[in-house]
Amino acid sequence: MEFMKSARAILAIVMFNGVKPVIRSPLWLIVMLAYPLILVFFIYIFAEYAVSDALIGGLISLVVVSGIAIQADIVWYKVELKFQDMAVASPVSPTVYMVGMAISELVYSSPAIAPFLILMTLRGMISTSGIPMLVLSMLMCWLSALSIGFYLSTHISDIRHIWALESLLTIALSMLPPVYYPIDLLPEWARTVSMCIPTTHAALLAKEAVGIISLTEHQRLISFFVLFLWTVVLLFVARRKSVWREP
Amino acid sequence: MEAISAERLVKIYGNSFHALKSITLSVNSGRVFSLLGRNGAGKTTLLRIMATQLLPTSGSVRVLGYDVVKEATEVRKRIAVVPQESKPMYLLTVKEHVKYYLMMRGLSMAEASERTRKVLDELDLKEYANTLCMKLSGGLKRKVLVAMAIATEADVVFLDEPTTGLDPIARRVVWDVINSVATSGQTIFLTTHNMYEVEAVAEEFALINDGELIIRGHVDEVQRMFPYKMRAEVQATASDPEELSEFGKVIMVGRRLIIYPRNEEDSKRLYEYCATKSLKVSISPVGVEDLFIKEVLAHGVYEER
Repeated sequence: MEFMKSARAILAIVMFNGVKPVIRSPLWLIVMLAYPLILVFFIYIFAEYAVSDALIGGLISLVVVSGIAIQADIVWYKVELKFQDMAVASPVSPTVYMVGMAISELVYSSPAIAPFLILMTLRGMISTSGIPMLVLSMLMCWLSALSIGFYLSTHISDIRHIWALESLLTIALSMLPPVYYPIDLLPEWARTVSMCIPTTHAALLAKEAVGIISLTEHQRLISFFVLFLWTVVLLFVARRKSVWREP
Repeated sequence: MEAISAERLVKIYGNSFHALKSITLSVNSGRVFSLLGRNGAGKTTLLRIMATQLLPTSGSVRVLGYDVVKEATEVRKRIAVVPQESKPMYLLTVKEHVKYYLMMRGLSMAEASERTRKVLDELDLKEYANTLCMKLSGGLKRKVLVAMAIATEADVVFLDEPTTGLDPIARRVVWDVINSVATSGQTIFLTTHNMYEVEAVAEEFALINDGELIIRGHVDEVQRMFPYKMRAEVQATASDPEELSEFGKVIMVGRRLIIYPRNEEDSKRLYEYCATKSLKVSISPVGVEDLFIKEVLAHGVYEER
């Protein structure tokens, strides 16, 4: 019974924060797709050999954006519309609210992810054996970005700061690290620094899953462990430090 | 039966700002209760603690017998809130607002649709059911939010300044909604700084100032406790307060002079005086505004003559 109630609550949140706004304002879908696709286009023109890397980069970028974007929506509902107060004073739990909001963000990014998957299939990058790792790395990447977004949303109350922070985080997580381009292009010191960023490891695992690079057993384990650790720590922080009822 | 009871409730923000100073209050179920006070008096803080949105510093609040701190989950099943300055979502229709909010609270789609239809019908929102909220007037937007809360059929509905920022017509629309709901047995706890709102919708009220409750009781009873029966109002710029004080107690509130005649004879004399001086005067029975003025006089907001 409780499960059914939670499922309905999640469905309702996905409808009002995802499906309905997307249908009524489809421009967002184009914005979501245009940004990573333009980067892929430029990489195709200037360095065709890196297009496969760029497609993985675009995919990670979309996943990161759809995770981090939760902060803007939560702050909007909390500060501007005061809808979160209505949610707090209702039977909906913070976990259900967060899951609903998170899934609704995917409604915006899913249609943009599809063309990337199609392009990857056309380039022969998708194989049955590679799908599990590709999905797993994207999932951990999304959960990490989501946790960062959720944590920040409960501590920042000015929507203008949120917009700025969202852009900065997207750059820091999906543009600067070797996500759109091969890690070998970086000098040694920058390569070491990039190893601290979770999306670097998500990119390494995903690129191996689609056959662009080959990792040693040791490298694969390290990348998986670091990404997993980031995901667990960020989820824990988001769960523990987020504020539902104000102190 | 008590719907809400607060005991020695204290809220301190930071280390020093005492927003609530030992509030003790009870609200009977099935009533419209209004918490009246100036901006910053502590109304929203009190409401947010009662509605499980904010933790108190000390003291306790029980809603329908459940402690708002220790049994918040139980309280939340039985309450609904319309927060101050809340707005509907621009890209949703009126119907979708109510339906999805009910589903978010755990109702099935069929049940949510049925209740939505019912509440839109009751609140005369049927013709706007498929209108996007961004196209509605301020009053209708507020009405949608109130409809969302009412449709929950929650035992206690909290409305935080439901008419702030609305024009007089839109305000009346919201008052009508509250009055129509009041008959259904739900307890409504509303905050306001509008004295007329208290008279328009509430049976019982309390006056809060600087985090302390000053008066509480039934609207009529409290009015009877007031030392004067009638009040007259004239424009301050066109009259002499010294001369008017001959007819009773005079208080200046902004550009208005409010005179409380001591008896009927004084009222008559005042009326005649105004007629000879060609002053516009309105004489009426005392209301909640007068109680409010009386109590905040002590804080130096108004000038007493």
